[in-house]
Amino acid sequence: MDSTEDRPGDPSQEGPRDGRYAEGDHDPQTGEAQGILRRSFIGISAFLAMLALLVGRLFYVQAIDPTGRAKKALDDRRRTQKIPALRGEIHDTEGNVLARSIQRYKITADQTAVAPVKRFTKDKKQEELSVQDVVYKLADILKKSDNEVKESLDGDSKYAVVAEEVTPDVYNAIMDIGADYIYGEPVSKRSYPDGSIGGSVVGFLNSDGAAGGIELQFDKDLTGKDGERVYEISADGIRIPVGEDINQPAEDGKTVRLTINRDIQYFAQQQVKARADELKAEWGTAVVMRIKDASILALADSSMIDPNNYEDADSGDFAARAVSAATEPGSTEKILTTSAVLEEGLSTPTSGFDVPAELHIDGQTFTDAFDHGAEKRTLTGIIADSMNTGTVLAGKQLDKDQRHDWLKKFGVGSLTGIELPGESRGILAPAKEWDERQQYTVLFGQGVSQTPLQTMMAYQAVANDGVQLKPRIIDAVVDKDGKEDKHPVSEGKRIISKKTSQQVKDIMETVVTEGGAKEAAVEGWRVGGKTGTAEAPADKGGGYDGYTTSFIGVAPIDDPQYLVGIVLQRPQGEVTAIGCTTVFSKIMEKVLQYYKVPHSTSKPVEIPKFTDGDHE
Amino acid sequence: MSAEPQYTDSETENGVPAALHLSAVKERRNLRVVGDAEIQDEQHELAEAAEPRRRKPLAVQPVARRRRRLSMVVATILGVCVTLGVVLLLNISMSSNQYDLVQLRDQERSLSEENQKISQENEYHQAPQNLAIRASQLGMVSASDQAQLDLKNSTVSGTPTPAEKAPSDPEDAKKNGQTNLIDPPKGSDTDAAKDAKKQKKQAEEEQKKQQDKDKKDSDSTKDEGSSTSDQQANNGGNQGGNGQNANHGNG
Repeated sequence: MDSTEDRPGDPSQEGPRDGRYAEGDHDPQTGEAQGILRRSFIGISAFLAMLALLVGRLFYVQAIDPTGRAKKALDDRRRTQKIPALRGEIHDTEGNVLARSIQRYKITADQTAVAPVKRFTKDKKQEELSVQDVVYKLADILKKSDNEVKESLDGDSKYAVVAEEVTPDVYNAIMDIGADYIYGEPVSKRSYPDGSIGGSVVGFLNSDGAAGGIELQFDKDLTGKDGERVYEISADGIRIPVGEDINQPAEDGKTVRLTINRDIQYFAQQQVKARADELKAEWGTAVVMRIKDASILALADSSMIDPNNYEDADSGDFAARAVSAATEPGSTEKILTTSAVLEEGLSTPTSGFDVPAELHIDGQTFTDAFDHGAEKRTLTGIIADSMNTGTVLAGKQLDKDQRHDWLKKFGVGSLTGIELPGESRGILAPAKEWDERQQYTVLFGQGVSQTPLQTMMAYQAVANDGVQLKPRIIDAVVDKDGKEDKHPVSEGKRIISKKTSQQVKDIMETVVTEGGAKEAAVEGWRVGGKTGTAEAPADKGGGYDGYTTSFIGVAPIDDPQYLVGIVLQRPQGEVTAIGCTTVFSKIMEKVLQYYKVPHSTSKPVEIPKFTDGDHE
Repeated sequence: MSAEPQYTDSETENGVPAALHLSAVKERRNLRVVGDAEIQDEQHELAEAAEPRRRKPLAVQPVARRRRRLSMVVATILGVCVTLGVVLLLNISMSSNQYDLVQLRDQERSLSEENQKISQENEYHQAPQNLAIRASQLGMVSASDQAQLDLKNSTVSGTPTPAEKAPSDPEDAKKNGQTNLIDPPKGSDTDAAKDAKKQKKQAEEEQKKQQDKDKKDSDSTKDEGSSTSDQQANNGGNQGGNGQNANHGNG
């Protein structure tokens, strides 16, 4: 039965089976084992060598990486996206938006890829649009002519601009066409919802960035800081969730809040434009200021740029003229002269002067705008009727240097420090350079040039009990957390004493009640001010052509709160009919109504204009 | 299998623990036909097998170990599978969230664009010149003198007067600043702005006609002041345009 060879007792089988334990060394057995050993040794060695090779290669590729494969691969799937900081807004004092950034799209095309478009309709049927159809559709959406659109798709440019600054609606409509060679690139556009209301103050952005007004002055605050996002994307363009992701958020720009009130700005612009148009003046400007803190409520020119459309603007409109245009102020300067004379204690409002019909002094002749004989006038009477002769008589009590220093003290010839670009300094020549005539003309505002704002600041000092402040146009800069960096009211500089200030205010009221500016009166409030009619130096030099008329007034004069100044450059017409007192009256009335200033309850002061009292 | 009990007998005879022998024998069992005739051989073999007794523990251990190893392998494979599955699920959910995120971002973008559009529209409507034009379109005029009521002494100061219609002559209305003189912001799409644009266009056409007429007139008496006359014509045209607005105010 036992036919199996695998018998435990089979000697022939015993050897090989228990060979490992056998004592004997049969040659064939050892040879076979050694063969196996050798083969496995070689096999293992070969395997290890291959492994070593692989590890070496791996090390070479991964760790040494001389060709920068890993980096290249990473670069391939890594996307760096700039997160543009949103430019800050510009607000008026009430928080109305004067400038803000909005999203627009630039539509571009890869002309080399222009082809018919296959797309699915809503009911999931495939349809094909020929290039012609795409052009028609684009033209319809963009409201452009077919030809124009066709031209922008013809060619071999990879980046051809089809349309600039299209709205998101239009962009979405274009993307719905489904042409994969048409791209939309988001761009930021500046929008100025109030247009030319305060446009020249707000400024604008051109292709190089901020280019005027507040936009330029506060560019740094408005710009903010761009952020960056780095992430990896997969082949289908979706971010790899576990990949690298660095997110540095953008710091949006801050909001700049002005002291300008857009309603008052509008009204002032409207009124000054009406008057400037009527008189065909070159330009007119109106400034409205709160006296207590020198906040500017309106800087209104007869024509201001629409920052949405700055390309079409006149070159003169790019800056507020009250800040940038220096003119000879004319008689409004007499208030400065009067203040100096009173402050120096040389006269009182009722001091008498013998005013001749024509004043001859140092070989110079001075006359007045109206004919009169020799009169005995008080200082008040001289100013009320704006007499050059009398002003020279009163002002010559000051020596030349005093005249210069007083003008300088009031701020003539120096920057007011308003936070707007392009401020003009005006011209105040040193006293020793004045000629025979100029030393007297500066007393009534000829031979010296200053901006309307500089004149305003002198009046602000007079109205504010003699303390001059720095004009404010910025109320605060607000960051995105709402933290306000308030631009404080400046400490102020005392120019004249409170007593002198009161005397000058009384004289200014007489100008309106008794003098030459009766039309400046505002029903219900006591008003004081001073007219100015200067001869405007010809642009080409050599004499004068035309006039610069102005009026600066304060209300209520018994408790000064608001200051309004109007200047018209070269109005056409009779010199007696080209004033701007009516414009002042309208604007001042609106301002007082707007801020709900109570009517004046006291009676106007009465100061005699003539020393003998009964002269008329 | 009938021989099985005999194994046990013989093993006990040898005084060797049954399990040890069993396992020792097991190695060869499949090679053998077990039957009665084999008993002798079997016993002989057993005796032989008993010889290398010192290696017995080595033979025993693997059986138990192999079982444990098997369960460990299964557990490991299972573990790996579960882990992989979880990772896969996690990845899927993360990816799909990523798609959701993209979609939501898209939605956010389109909503904020819409918001932007609406607030811009709103701001254009609020622009003072658009408001003024709209107001005069609706027949509104600005108020004139106001009176004030002093609560302290119950007196009225000032004489209130009813608002007056703008003068019928557009030139007068313009002089008084009672009609809007300022162009609406470019790009504003309000009714007021559209209307103002239309008026302006009309005015420009009129101005052009006027200019042509002036040219014809001045052709005969041409002097060096032609540029100034152009300028004046320009001004005249603008006045005409604003006059149109004034008409609106009255109507």
